[in-house]
Amino acid sequence: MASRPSDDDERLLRELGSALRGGAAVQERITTIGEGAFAWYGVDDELEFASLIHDSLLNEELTVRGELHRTVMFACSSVTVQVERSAGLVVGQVVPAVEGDICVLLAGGDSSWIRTDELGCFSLPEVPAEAFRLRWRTATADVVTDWIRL
Amino acid sequence: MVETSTVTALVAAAGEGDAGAWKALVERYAPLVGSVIVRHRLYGADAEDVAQTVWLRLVEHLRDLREPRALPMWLITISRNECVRVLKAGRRLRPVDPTTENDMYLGEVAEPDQALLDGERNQALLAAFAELSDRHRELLLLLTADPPFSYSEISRRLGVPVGSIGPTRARALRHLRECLEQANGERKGGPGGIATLR
Repeated sequence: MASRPSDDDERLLRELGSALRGGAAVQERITTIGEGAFAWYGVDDELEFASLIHDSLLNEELTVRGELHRTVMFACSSVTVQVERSAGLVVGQVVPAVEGDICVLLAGGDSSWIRTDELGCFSLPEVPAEAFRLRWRTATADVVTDWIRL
Repeated sequence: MVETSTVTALVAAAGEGDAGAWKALVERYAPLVGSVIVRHRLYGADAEDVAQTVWLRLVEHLRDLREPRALPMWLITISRNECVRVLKAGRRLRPVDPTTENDMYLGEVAEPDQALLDGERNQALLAAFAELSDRHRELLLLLTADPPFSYSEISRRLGVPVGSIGPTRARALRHLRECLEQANGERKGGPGGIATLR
């Protein structure tokens, strides 16, 4: 025999329904995108992972004449990399400096290479239009950064 | 006993490369991620942009997530940060007048207090909902549909007797409350700023 629902249960159910409907407009696409993201699973098993440790966007409001300036920093035990975006320009520096090639991996699967100078500085030809990560080789390890969307 | 083992098992399996477990995790937590995005009034390409970064980060961090109960707060923080990024980037498209724009974006859309509280309550509810068993989530989804399904239709869809729906509903809601209470207890001192698991 079905028990009679309490008022509290009714209220909770209504609240849940309202919460579930709140994100309904975007939920299907979010789910599809989420399923696709697993294609990146395990790709970087052997790599040293550099986590996002600073993002100026979350701490400061550096808007100059309507332009966005943003600095992000990734770090792992052996290396840090700072990336700055100012308007349409993206520059960065790897510390300790590594002169060589850095791979820019785009979430959609494309990749390109950029060159660092003797100070470990580099620039991207354009602001990536999707999430990306950087990957490069130091003297001791292959390093990959967290995903970032500038 | 709160049914948290399902999420724990899914996180562990996805961390081992189980695509089915990952899909189940995404289905469970897409409403939560969606609620954060919609709360920031982002739709279409902006919403997709946020979602992509959130899920990519989660794939990367699955194996670090030793305490899966931290997952909802982690998702909320990353989603919120990404929404802030998109909203701030959007500001580049129009001139800023610092003498009149005192609502410079500081992390949340300016909302009345009640709407802010409702948004937090919704996120807490969706995070708790994601921890329920498949059976309980399916039932509550049917019960909260608009318009709602009748018990006989639910019985047919789920293949359970009509008489079991009331008691199962009561148990599902009890679990939901338990998950909410646990999360409330653990929330204090939760992650802020950059959510990192390492």
